[in-house]
Amino acid sequence: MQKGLVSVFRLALVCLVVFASFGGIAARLVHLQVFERDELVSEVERARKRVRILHARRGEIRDSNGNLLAVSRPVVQVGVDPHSVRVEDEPMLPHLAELLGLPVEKVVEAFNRKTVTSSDGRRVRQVRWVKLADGVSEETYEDIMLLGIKGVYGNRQYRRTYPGGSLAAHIIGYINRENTAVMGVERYMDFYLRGQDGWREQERDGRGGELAQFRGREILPRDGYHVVLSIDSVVQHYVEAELRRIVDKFDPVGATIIVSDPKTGYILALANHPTFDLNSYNTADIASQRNRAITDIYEPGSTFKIVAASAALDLGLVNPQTTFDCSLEAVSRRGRLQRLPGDTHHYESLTVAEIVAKSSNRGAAHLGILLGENRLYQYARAFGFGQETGFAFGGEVAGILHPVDKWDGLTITRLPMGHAVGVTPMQIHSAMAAIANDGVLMRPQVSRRIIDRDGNIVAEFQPIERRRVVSRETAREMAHLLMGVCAPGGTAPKAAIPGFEVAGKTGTTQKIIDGRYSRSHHVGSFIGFFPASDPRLVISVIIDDARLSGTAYGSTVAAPSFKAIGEKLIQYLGISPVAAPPVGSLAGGPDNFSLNRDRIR
Amino acid sequence: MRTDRQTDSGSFGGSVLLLTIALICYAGGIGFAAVWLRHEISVTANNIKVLEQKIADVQRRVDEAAAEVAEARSPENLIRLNQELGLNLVQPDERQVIRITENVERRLAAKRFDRLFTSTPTPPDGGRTRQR
Repeated sequence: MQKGLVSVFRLALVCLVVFASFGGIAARLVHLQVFERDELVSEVERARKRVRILHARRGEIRDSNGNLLAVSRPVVQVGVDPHSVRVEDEPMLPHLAELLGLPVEKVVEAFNRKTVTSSDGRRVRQVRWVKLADGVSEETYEDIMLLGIKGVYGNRQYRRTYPGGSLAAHIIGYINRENTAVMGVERYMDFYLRGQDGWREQERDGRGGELAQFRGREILPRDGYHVVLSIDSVVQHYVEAELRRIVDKFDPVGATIIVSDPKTGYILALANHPTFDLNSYNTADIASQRNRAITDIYEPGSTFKIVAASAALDLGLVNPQTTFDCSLEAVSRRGRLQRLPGDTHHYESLTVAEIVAKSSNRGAAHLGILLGENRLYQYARAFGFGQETGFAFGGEVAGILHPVDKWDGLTITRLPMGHAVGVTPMQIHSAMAAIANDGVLMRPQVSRRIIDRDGNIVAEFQPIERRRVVSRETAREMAHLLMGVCAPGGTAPKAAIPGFEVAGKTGTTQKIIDGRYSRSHHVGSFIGFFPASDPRLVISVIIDDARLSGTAYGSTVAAPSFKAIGEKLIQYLGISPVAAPPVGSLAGGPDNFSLNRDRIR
Repeated sequence: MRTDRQTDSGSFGGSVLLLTIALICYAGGIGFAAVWLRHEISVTANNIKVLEQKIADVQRRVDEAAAEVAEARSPENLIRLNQELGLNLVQPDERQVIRITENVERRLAAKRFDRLFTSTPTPPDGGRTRQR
């Protein structure tokens, strides 16, 4: 028989030791896993597990040519762990302070702030992070890292920057320090731009570093979409350069210039004075952040005459050659003498074409009386006055257009010349654009499309027709009459661009100061379009309280700017002159306005 | 003297001990395999993390470059460069522009065919009209 290797006693002893060892381990496991489980688990989770937010990158705002107007730029928040600093690094602190642009004392103080006492003075907490500087560029951060100071490190974050500075500031808007979209496209398109943050369950080691192998569930972030605007940076620049020239020359209280495509309603440029730099919005006052094109109302003056003239033509009450006696100071109406407003020049008989070209207040009053209160009011509403244009940015006001039952006896003669009504620059711009667009009122828009990071179109904003205001024939006839304004003998020959048909209307309004019309404070404006036969651009120039000797007529302060911008845009956009067809040969099929016109009749 | 019974029990004990050692080796092997797998998972996870950080870094640099390019291309900056570099670039005005209203392709084709099929050369200006 084979001899056994060990005795039974020894075997039993080994087994006992093994079982005793396992028993001891099992007992300890039971103790840890059952009796102390809750406490230990919570401690572990507190120390190791955390849910990290994965921030989505905000989308860019681009102009119509793809140029960046707003972009998120990576910056670094630099700080120090005071408990990790070494004595031998102290000579480096002046260099660090220089790179961060901070006083050396402040850096030294941050390095020595090792504890912080609670507000009640009872607890002292270890400080593991003291912020030194925000918004440090990658380049500077690399230089800081080269210093090799232990304990100094940075957290990367994205900050919104605006490469154009003040370019299209009122359109683009900005993001504040709290990452909240405050105004403009940034706010209105925030839903598309901001993207969606993700999150990840992860565990940390004793030094706070992530243990990548213990990553749990995660939802990846979805970066924001890019927003493409109809704004053209070059057009915007031309407009802002012209605005600066106006400010240098006339030092106005405010000014607005709008350029748009009448056929689509897309805004190519919109600029206001005063304005501000989007990169330093926190130093700009609230007044300069206001988008005056939609928030400020003013009496439009003679530019509003397009309403009465278009309405009278559209209803067939007059034709361009219909004559009115503009020498009369009053006319009999409903058995009473109705006083007519005065003109700057004395006129005898004027045709409708001359009333528009010479901007006769009295002639406009005649047209208003001919229309009557209801039809004048309805056409003014149809042109979009007294209601928001739908320009989708916060703060737009509806303007003032009182219903007929609130009119006084003078309103019927004052409204046609642009008094007793309050409009925003965008409203009067849209109304003129309706004339340029064959009588169709478009919604002014700035957003063209939303695209993802690969350039795929996510959403597109098509032109939106609000309604037909006047018939195509009337609109073209009106455009023809408005060409007379810029012709010799009209009120704004300074707006004429040689070789091009320019149509437009001047406006000069006395401002109301202390409840009375002032003789020294005016709002001068010129709203026009070209080429009149096939309009490509509508340009509005509105200048509030230009300072110059004499009256700040729209023809003096605004019309030359219209011309200057127009000449630049002709070259930039490659606009060709268009030969005007005779007014009598206007083509055009039946349109849906006949019903509307009958209703107004 | 050892009895047969003692010899049998010793043999059984030896077998149990061998089996135990084999089991321990087997379990140890599994343990080592598990540890090795965990190690590989850690290494791979850390590699992925490093790659993710690299991608984020590249994205950051791309964003940084995009912002710098946008600033460099802003109209204000281009105008400043135009002045600083003395390029004297200006926008053309209408007087410098000649607008050709005819169909240039047709005119050039006609000119070419004239030369091919006739001996009469076309006038140098091709009979084009100009409009300013």
